[in-house]
Amino acid sequence: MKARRAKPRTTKKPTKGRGRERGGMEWVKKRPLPVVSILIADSERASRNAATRVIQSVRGMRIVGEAHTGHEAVLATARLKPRVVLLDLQLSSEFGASLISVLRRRSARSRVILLVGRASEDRIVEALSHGAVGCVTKKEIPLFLSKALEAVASGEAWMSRKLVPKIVDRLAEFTARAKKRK
Amino acid sequence: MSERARNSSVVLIASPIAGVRGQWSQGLREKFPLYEAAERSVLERNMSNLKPAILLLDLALPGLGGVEGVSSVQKLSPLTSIILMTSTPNDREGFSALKAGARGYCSMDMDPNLLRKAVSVVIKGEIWVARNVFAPLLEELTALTERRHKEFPPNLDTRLDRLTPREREIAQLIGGGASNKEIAGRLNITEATVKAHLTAIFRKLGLSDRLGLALFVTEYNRVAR
Repeated sequence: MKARRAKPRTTKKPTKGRGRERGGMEWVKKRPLPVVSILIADSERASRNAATRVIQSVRGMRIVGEAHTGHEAVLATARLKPRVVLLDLQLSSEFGASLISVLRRRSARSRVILLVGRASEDRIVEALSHGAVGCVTKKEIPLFLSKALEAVASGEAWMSRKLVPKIVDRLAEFTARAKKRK
Repeated sequence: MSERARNSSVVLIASPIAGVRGQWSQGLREKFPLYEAAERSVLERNMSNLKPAILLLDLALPGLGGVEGVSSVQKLSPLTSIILMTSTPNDREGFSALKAGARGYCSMDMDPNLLRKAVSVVIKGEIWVARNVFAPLLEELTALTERRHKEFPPNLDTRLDRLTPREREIAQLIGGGASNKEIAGRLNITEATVKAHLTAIFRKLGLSDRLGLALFVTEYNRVAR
């Protein structure tokens, strides 16, 4: 494993032809949106590239750094304080304590979206319980990543509907356990 | 996924307003056997007798008592999945509905085709709520998990147990930001020995450099405290 420094990437700013392809009434509200800063933390080049392509195609989003290991992700998050961290689920188990809680402690404003390769629903829910607010499978990056980013940047969560029962079950377990103790 | 398998696909529709019941039936009539209830007593009887797969329940049904009333209706047929229907949907209420055991929370004037989809999905064991409800759901999950970790700290990373006492000592010093030279001076050994120890530590912990080790130790200490 080689340590690489997260290098900030410069992205072309979409100045020309703003919203041209969107058509409709887009021109009515021409407020400049605050730019959403994004850190990509993934050990796989393929998913990093896929995410990069999506982000570059979306207005108002910028990649501010890249990390290839868990500890690079922590350092980069602490330094750059990105609005969103795209975190490979694989990397999230690099520490004893969950990497996601570490990230959140180091940068309170950052929101974590998981990029999931192959993983059980339990593992994903486990990661969500440590404070991730989004989850996109790597296969679905071209389809859903921009939606997930927009949702999370505006304070919403993004995940597959299929995970909801698991989460509700977990909440019920917590309540049941709390009742038992009383 | 929770086991909610039932033999039937019976859908029970409960609303005091005939027009509303009619509207919901539209999309469902062809696919599911339907029953209706216009008041609480009929609803209760149908729940106990039919044990429907799905109950579409109007939150405005007299005598229900809002979201809190769901659990008493649920008791009559524990395997029935209840979908709450409201004319004024909001995230907070949707969230409490799920906590009360509802498997769905929808707007009353939902498109009939979408309602059919919701019912089909809930029959399969999934949950149907607006995406807005996801955020409060995850917030609660995280808050409860964190609270529990405070009460019962999670198992510490056992990787640190693989280290010898000397190696652990060195790892802690690295965590404190010490250089090889400082460590050598502190422990009265040569720098070469420190390096040898470090190599062993990296191998045992599966780390690649001292930065990673420092981070590992800090986080370990935080959990251990």
